[in-house]
Amino acid sequence: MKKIMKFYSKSGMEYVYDNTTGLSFPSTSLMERVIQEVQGNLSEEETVERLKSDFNEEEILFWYNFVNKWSKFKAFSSTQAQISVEKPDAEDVKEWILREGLNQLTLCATEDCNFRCKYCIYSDNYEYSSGYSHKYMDFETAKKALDHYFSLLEEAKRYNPWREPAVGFYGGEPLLNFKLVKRCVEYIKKEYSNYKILYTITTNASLMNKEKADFLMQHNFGIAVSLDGPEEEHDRNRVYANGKGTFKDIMKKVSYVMEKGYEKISSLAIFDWKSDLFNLQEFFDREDVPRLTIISVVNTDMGCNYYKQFSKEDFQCHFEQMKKAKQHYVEYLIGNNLKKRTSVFDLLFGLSAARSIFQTPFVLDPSPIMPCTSSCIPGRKLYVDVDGRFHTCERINKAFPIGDVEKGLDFERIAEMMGNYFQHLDSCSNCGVRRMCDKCYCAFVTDKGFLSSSQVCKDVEASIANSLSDAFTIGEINPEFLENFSSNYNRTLKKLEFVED
Amino acid sequence: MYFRLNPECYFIKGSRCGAIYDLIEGNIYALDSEETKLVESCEKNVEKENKILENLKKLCLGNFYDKRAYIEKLRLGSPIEESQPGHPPQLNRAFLEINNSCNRNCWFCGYHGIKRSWGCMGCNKWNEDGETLTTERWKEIIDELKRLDCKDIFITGGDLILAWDKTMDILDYADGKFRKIYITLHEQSFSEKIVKYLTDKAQPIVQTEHLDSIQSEDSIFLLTVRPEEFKNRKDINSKKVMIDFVSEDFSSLPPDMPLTSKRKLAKESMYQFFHNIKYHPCIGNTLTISHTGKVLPCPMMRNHVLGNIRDRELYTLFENGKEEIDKFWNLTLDNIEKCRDCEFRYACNNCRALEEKLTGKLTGKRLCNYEPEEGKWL
Ligand code: SF4
Ligand code: SF4
Ligand code: SF4
Ligand code: SF4
Repeated sequence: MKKIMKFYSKSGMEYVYDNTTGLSFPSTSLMERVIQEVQGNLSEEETVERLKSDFNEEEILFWYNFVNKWSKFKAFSSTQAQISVEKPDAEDVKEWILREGLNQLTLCATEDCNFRCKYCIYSDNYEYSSGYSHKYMDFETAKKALDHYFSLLEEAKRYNPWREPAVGFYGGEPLLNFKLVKRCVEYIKKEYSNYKILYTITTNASLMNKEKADFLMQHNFGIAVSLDGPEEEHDRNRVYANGKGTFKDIMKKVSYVMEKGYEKISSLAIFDWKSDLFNLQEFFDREDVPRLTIISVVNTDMGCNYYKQFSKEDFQCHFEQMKKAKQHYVEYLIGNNLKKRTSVFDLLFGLSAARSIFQTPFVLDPSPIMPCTSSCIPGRKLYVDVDGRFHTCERINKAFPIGDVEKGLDFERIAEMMGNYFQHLDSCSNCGVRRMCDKCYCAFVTDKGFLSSSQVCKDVEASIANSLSDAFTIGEINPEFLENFSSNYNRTLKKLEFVED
Repeated sequence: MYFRLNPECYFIKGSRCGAIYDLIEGNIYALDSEETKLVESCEKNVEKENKILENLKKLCLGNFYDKRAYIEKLRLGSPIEESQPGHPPQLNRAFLEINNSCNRNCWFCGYHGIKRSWGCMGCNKWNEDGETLTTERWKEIIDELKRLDCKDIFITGGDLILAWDKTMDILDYADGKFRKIYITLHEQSFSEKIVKYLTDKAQPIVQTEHLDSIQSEDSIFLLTVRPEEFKNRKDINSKKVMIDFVSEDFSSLPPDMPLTSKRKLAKESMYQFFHNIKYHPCIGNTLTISHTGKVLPCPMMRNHVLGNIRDRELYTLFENGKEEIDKFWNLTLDNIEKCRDCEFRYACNNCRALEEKLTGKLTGKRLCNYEPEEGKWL
């Protein structure tokens, strides 16, 4: 039996979320009663008869018609379809990848880094991922990866001629291997000049100099700079190996690019329970700071121990501040619309509200090869590690390679990995928020395999109800804002040629 | 109290009046200017109570709430996904004109330059030179369409009977590769034997001037009529019929014609509605490949050549000509003069080829008796 999930906006308006269509509806106790009667196959007259002592007749009729209308989409039905956990067919996976995938090839230029950020995935705080190394990708490996990517694109453009392929450089700190970045770009220019490639680089910017910056700008790189906020915030986590803060150096290096008025530079920020959000909000409004495109809280996946350093009070403090910031933002939205420059609060509250509503695929059946969760089909993009193995993305650990530069992308292996993953989705068939699920592989991986969803998903319904409640609170105040947000934001990302996960 | 339309009901505003589209039932409710103002302010979450609104509630289009509500509208798929750059083209239909010869001389044939309101569904021979593509090339094109995830194909001519071996060869090759295959035949080319062969393979569209002359349960009929004769035809409502109005200039049209009157508004499916918001209702996501390999937005737009794929693959046209394709595909009625002011613009059908011929403009509009400025049907 499917439970009805209710949530309330700040104003106390009651809504019910329907997991079959992915939509939420304003609801009343009468609506719930009518749903029960319709499920019991009662006719209009019988329903009115049963309920008219407690409710107004017109009202009963409305809800009867409403629930009936929506039953065409099986909304409010008491059961939901089981998911199929069959291993997908490798041929279908291949066809999907050729049509919808291959959006970006990301090369890990080096695993080495001149920083020792405290939350870094290579730090000791993450059990299921390996530590730093001094490995660099050599050009031979990069060349093979590029050749393979372009040979796939050559076939794939027959399935999607409108793809906008991208090549990204990632690390460690990719500027430590700037030689490689340069050689790759030159190589693509020479061998694959028939493609228009978007370049991206994710960097800590500390090694930026005039030569490198000029090169990146000349080739229209989307430059994403990891920057956590003002000095005291940033330097708390982002430090050199000797423990010294990195803020001053970064701002100096970035200023060259900013002063040129280069548009395609952006900031990526990470915060934790100690961050002062109001401070961040002010900082990222500054004109001399690259505009913020992504902000996220320190990751808790992959056996993360980072949060052990904090006390209960720290969390309480953080929680209160989030509440205050949200409140502040919601008040601001009355009569205000999206500014040109997205702020910390826009991203934290506005974007997440828009996402929690519009990321959901409504009504239509999910893709037959990915029956639920938000995991992408591996091959949607490709991440190449320093040794030339392909992975699903830069965030997932190395336990699930999906091919390598010698043998190419291995579709059979991808199908197997997906099949294996599906086997672990044991609680998804009955999950009450399946259509809104935001979990991806990263939430399930260990160094050996996948955890099952019954182990990973605790309190998911409460947490989705919370984000829906926030989103609907904003929607009640400023529906246009909410509806325009996702498209505006996507346009901004596009301008920055930023390829998002 | 706050009145809000239900999630499945969209309010679309014209320059004077508005309409409510009920996407589940498929009905469209035209509002007068007063009702329009009322519903518009309700949708902006302004408090209102009124008899008109109570009636809308009786129709199950909306309800009263004692607080401001956010109504999450019915949508299909994920709006965020679709707005990602680099999304593949959504090719819904392709017309394949696999031959261009015919021994008949129908008065309504495209050959004579006469204007047809649904000529794409019929056959036409064209006064165009050039060698017809080989069967082998057509088979490659079928594979190319399949890779582009084309949903439906329409196989048309000329008289396909004159090249029946080729037709069968191509049909057999396409069998099972698409959601649906349609094939157009003139009634005289249509026979028991052919019906049998086509069963489970393709949906025949039979072009005819007289409905009574043929018996076939499973066929769709395309009836060609002169507009001035339409009123006297008694046979029309009996079968699955599409009406193809044919005329030199469509100058004097009797009133109450499906071409110009209220009857032009289709019962709206939610799929069509979401399509129409982004694309032209008809030429959006459609392509035509002429017998010589020319690629056209639609079979009747002979002057807009997007390229020729005799010697190159179809995808190259997408690769290099996105803007040119989008010019036709994204031509929603928001871009058509008159229609852009009309509240019915996402439910209205619209033969662009015919309108262009009549007005000389790709975005012109002649065939419509509605006056959006006044909110009246003439
Ligand atoms: S939230 Fe968890 S249980 Fe629900 S669908 Fe997602 S992975 Fe499955
Ligand atoms: S049968 Fe078709 S192609 Fe032949 S003359 Fe008639 S309309 Fe033209
Ligand atoms: S043709 Fe245009 S103006 Fe006329 S009813 Fe249709 S959309 Fe409205
Ligand atoms: S515009 Fe549409 S209806 Fe008109 S001829 Fe072209 S395809 Fe057919």
